[in-house]
Amino acid sequence: MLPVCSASQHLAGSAERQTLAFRASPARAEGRVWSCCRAADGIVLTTQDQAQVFHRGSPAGPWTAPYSKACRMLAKLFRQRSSDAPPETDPVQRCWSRTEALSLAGVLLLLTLVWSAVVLQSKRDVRQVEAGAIRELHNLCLAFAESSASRLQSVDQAIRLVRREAQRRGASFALAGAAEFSELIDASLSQIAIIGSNGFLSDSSLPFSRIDLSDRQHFRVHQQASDDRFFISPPVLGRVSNRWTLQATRRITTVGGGFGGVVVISLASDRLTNFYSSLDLGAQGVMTLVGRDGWIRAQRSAGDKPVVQDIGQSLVVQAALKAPVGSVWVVSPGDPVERLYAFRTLDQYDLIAFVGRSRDDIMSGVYQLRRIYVGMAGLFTMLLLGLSALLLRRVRQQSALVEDLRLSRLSADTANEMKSRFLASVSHELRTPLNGILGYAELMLEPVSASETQEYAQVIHASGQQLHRLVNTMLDLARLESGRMGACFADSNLTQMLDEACEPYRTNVQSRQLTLQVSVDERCPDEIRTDRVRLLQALDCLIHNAVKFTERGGVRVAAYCKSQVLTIEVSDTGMGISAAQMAQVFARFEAPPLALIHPGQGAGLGLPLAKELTELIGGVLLIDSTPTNGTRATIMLPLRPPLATDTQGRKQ
Amino acid sequence: MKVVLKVLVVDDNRLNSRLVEIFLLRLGMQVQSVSSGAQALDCLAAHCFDLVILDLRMPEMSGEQVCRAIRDQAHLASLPVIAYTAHSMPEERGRMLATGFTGLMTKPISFADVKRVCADVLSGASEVEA
Repeated sequence: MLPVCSASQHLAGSAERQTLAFRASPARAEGRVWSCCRAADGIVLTTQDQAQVFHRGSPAGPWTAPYSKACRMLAKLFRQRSSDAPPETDPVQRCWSRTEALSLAGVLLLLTLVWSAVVLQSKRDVRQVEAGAIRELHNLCLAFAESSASRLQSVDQAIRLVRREAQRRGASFALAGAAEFSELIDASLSQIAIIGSNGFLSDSSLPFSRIDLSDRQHFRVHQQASDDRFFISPPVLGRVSNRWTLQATRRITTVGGGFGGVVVISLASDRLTNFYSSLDLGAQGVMTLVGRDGWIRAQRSAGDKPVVQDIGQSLVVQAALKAPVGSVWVVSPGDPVERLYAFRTLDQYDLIAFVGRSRDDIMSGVYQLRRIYVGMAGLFTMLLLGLSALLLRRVRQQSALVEDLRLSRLSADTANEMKSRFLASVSHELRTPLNGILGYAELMLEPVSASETQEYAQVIHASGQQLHRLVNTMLDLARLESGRMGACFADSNLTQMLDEACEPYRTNVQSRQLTLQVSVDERCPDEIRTDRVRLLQALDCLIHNAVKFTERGGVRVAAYCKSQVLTIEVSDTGMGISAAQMAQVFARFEAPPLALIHPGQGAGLGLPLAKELTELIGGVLLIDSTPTNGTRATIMLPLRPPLATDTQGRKQ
Repeated sequence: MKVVLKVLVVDDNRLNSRLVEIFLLRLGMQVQSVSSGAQALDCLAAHCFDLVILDLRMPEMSGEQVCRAIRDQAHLASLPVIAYTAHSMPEERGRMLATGFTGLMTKPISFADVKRVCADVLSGASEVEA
């Protein structure tokens, strides 16, 4: 098992790159190693065997599914390994937030209210208009009934007069010559006639022949009943006048009480309904005078003709038979028009008068108003929805911005903290060699022996070298940190490179009777594509540590290849480090600084630098070590570098 | 009257302990150097010392652990122990004093630093005598 696992997450910020490092505790490393580099164009996940690349798609475009998956894997990894840090929420996967849902509910509520108000208001309008229409039709009906009644009354008076004269004068009475009636009888009455008891026309105001009228209803009614009643027949086609007329009739009773014939006044039906012409009942308005027997006596509707029809089954008549006055909504059986009828019974004439208007006529104003309401509500709805959509977009943009700001502040905070730790660490690292230089130089200020002078000078020189190396390392780390160090890939000879890395330590190793071996597996290609300078620098750090911490035995540098991954191991037989210390190895600039304790000291920044350099060239650095068993540092590099881990660096 | 202090210097780095040792010798003190915490505790058990200068970063037993072990022994509770460290942060200083160190000597050191530490210990000792 590898004792340490580390991954660094490079956040591709708008202008600068910041690095968030998260580390696993050794117990949770699970034997797998992840290195994650997140660049502007994708994520590279490196495991022990392979490097996987997840492209983002275009930097500004939508993220590809593998990229999102990699993000989720990262988040999971992060959760597992750092329980105190919340996982990064991916803005792409963010669903409706609570605020957005609440706003949407508010908008929907508002719309519901508006539309409810529209429906309620139009219902109220309908009720008001209906009540008004009922009042109006009642008044019309009353006027109609009264005008009809007065008309019929005058007709009845005329009939009575004629009858009295006929009875008084007997056979000498002739209507044609009765000029006195012309004053009584309206010129519009088409005919005055007398039917004899045998059913033949016996007298008429018009020229006539003695035709048989015994089959007419208005004759038979009086022939069969002995009471003196005023009967008005439905319209008939006059056999004398040859016109459609109503027959208003009364019985002539002989002195003995027998049936003496019928007095008839024919009148055009429009005489009763001409009242209509002064009214506006709309295109589908109806005005009707109907008998209790159900037969229409007179009817007027727009552009009509005289109607002979039994409407006894009509709901209007049925309603009128039950109550003398009232109103009712009825769909006419003849035409599919729904009308509102007001009716009134003329008791003394056995007639019912009713006036009707179609619903469309009555409601046309309401319907228009309703259309306006609906139009306005619709406009309001569209406006509100449009505004909400705009607002939502703005809010989303805003929250994305806030998220970006939060992340960049996190990065800035981390960087700031790192800077403080860096200062503390630098101060600490520099003090150790400075102690040697200043302290021993001070000793030489006093007169000392020649051997002491030499000893002190050696110490000062060694400390100075250590200080020099530290300064260089720190500068490199600072350049890596700010992203100013780039990688430049080119083909290089592997064996030559490893030999070159070992060269500076040959003398040191020989003097301490250690071994320093280089071996390259035959499966490795001669040339590898990498950044030679950075790889040499990383190897130098590793070999420097290995040589420094090894007292007996030696150091071995070995390279081999497996599944497109080049592995370079630097192993020693030195003191090693424990797993607990290992966690701190890569913790660059951490305070307190490395607890790596060794007479050599000064190992604090080498490993972090080697790790950063390895990642810069697309690889992974692993340290595998146990105390007293030696240390093995492993650099794993993809044979074909997947992509630059630092786009800014590449430009340089 | 010149007072001679018996000083124990504990540091795993030979160069560091040698430097302090030479400074102390020039002040006329008696010095013994050891390279680990365990050796220091053995020495303290066997001999009597007036002052301990203790490095913080050592293998096996850190300077803080050694200091606590010293303070745990009743007859050493008032023994002056100076931390010899490269830490320079104020919070580190507070932590060291809380652990039981008498004072701090921050690297890089000079002859004046060592001289002042010795003078402080001496004045503290005279007060105890008085």
